[in-house]
Amino acid sequence: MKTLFLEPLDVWLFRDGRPFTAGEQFRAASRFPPSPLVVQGALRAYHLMVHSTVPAWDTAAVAEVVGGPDDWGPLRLAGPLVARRTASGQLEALLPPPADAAFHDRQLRRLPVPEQPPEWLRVPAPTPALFPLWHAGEPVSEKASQPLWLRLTDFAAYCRGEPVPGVPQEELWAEEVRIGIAQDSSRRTTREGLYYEARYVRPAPGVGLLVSFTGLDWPEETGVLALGGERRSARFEAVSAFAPPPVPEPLPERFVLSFLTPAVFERGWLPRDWGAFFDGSVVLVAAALDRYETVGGFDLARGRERPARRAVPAGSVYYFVARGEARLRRTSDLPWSTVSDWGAEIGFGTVLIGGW
Amino acid sequence: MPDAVLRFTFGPVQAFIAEARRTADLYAGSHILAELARAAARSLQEAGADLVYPADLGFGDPPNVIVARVPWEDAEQLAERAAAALRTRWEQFASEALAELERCARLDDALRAQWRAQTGDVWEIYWAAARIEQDDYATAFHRAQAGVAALKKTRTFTQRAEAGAKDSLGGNRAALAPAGQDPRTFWRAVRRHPQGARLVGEHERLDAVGAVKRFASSAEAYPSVPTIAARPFARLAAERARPALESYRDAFELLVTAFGEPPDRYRRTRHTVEAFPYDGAFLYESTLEWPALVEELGLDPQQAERLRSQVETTLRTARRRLAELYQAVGQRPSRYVAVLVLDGDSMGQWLTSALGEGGVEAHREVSRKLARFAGKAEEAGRQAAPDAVFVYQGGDDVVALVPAEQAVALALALAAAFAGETDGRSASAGIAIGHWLEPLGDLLQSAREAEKRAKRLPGKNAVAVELQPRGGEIVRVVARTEQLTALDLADLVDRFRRDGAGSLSGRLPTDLRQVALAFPQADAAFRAVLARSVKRQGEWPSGTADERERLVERLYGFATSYDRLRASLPGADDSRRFERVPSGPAQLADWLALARFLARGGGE
Repeated sequence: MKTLFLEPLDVWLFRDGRPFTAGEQFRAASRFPPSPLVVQGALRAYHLMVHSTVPAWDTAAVAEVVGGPDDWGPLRLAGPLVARRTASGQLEALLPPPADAAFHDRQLRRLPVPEQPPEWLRVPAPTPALFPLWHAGEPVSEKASQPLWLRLTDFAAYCRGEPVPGVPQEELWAEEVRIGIAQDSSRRTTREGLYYEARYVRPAPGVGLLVSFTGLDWPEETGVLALGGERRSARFEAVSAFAPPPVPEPLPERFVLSFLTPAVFERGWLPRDWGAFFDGSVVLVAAALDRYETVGGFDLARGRERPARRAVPAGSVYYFVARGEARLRRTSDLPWSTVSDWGAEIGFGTVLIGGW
Repeated sequence: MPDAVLRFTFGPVQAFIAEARRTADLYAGSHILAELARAAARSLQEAGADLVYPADLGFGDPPNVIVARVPWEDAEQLAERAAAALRTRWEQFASEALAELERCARLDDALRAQWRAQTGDVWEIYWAAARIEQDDYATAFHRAQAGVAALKKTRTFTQRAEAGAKDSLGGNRAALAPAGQDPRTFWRAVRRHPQGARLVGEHERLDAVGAVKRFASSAEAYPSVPTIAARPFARLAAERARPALESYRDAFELLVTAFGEPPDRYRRTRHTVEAFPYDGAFLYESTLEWPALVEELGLDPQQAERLRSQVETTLRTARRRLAELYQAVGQRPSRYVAVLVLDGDSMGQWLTSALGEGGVEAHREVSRKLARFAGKAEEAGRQAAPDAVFVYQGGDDVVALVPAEQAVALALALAAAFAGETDGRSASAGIAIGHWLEPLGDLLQSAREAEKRAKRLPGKNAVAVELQPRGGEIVRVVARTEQLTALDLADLVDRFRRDGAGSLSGRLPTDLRQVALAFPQADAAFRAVLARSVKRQGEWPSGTADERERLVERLYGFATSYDRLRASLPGADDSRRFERVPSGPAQLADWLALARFLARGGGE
């Protein structure tokens, strides 16, 4: 297994879903952190260029080495997670703002544990077995003026319901607008009327992305690779001994799946079958999730858009009760677990498990 | 006997409205939301529910939250009835739009299936009912509110993979197209239809939701963004240089006729001036550049190219007349427009205290006050911003499009009107100023972000502006309404715009930005440097020393008000205080930069 910390050499561009074609749209917006597909593409491309002699136009040979557009190939990923270097030089992983958090003065605190609504309340629960995260007293949450990220080291305390300090998003990255004009490379001039504007991401100093993977020979400890739109650069550095909290074996009777990256399920917010991910019987009793996000991107091999899929957003939290002994199924050699009907092999549905 | 509180709401609101490129999208999005809320509220009313919020469906746009007193046993059935009414109304919009689209292009079964799928799962509906126990309406209201909040924590959705090219408004769904046809080809064909050319841009391709917005209300003629941006210039031209304006109008009509198009096709009934009743886009010289002109006129590029040599002379004449018009007016139209959102401050607290004191009747009274504000907002705003176009007024929310220069004045007028109708309660506004070619959805998003920044100031009651100059750095400013009133931004704009005594040079904000780096707070030393900068970067002939001193005092007072505001924060550390209340000198420099920008109509 290799874990890399990717840091920008300049700004990054990770496109959102809107088309950005000369003459059609002049503004490209960024999302951060990027989808696992972006990191998969960057690692595959680097591996092809640096570690193999396969010509890029030989699609069959390329597929042999890293996988084709429709198969994941040998690469297995977890992440990407946002991380930053602390003053002591250690890496600190940051978890996306949890959807089950109440905010108070830069602190995050989990909403009270789900309980059956009282008899004086009627609500249409999403499924017969599901009841909502419910707080009938005074509002415990103020509108957070900006998203607050959670330190990995605070995850256990957060799960216990203790207030923990959040990390304001504006400490992690900023948006930067730059303008450009399309080039006519045949005449080496600019093209009339093709002004464009791109909104880049400028991570704060020390902030980057953390990704763990297996399946590719990767001898380098440091280096530079192209990442995301415009082939912007990222400096990578191998990180040793960075692992998530171990998954409890067996799972506690009451546990949560906390999604650190988006997950794509066959039934939208629900997978085809929870049994695909768990040994034993588990029952979903509550879920905190924001509106779905769209995962798509561009299929470079075929020169067309990939199908857009709806994904459970990073930060979502699913509450379970185990009926008897239950275990999370391991799907790769990585210490991180992934729970997703599609893309689990490359980091979609990277989760942490906590109690509630 | 109504013995329960039903709270009914639906979404997505912001995401639905934000998928917008043109004013028509923004209008239609808001209009559709208001109509859906109206349908749901009306169905409850017709079933005998006692509507508490909104108090009256006749004032302004209904908000997307409905509160009613209902019989406990019937709560579920009534909520389902309201949901069905909402969905039926949406299906009506979708059917109308599909029929309109069919007038412009042939649709096949595949496209219809895509249409049904994309329009079928747009709306999320949430409701909760809480029993009123011991006649305690307030507790039941809060319980129902908490119930809905809990449900909204779980935003369920179904899966749908959308293959093919994405729509250009949101990029979340595939653009519509018949089987086997590239969406680009299909939408180009729609645009070639005389009706479609008005509704779809040259490079646009829409999904079903975007198409509902464009085609369902296609009979409505909304003023375009450039029409709104150019409106102050058009009025000024009509007053100051009518012959030049009419001369350009004649040249424009000849040009359009030379292309074989009737000028009436570009006539806009709302928001134009009599002497130039056409789309404001044609008051910009950049629109008279060939590719932009062909696109703005909605012509087929190949056919237009064949006419190019024939229209060349007419086009040159039009360009010359437009240049003469600029000269006669003494300025060019601003290329910038503002999106403004305003929202009442601490509405939850207001409602809680009102309910605690007077139960359901107090709630009704709050509803009535908000309805009165919604009914009067447009009138109040128009006095301060004659060229504002109101998109939505419902509950404590207002969304408006306004020429950049009038945006802050509009925010202050609306906040005053809100206070007037709500016993002195405050409201905060977010304003995003951007080039008229920016997608409006993006500007709306920025305005909402700005509104959040405004509400971060202690005591709220603030206005925040995000200025997005094309190709320059983004400027973000925030100030409380009383600070802004004291600053008198309009006077500063005038000083940057005019020449002669009391005018200010464009270098002043640049100077002060440098100065602000050394002065996080406005102290006596800063005042001295400020006084020197104003003196050096302004025209102050003899006899104007008092005026200059008053101006310095005004600017200094504005900068120090941030320090006072920061000092009022209890027990936070310094960095946290500066996070809530930015540096006064830096904010002063940026407000001056905004005034300079507005004075130049965006020509930085």
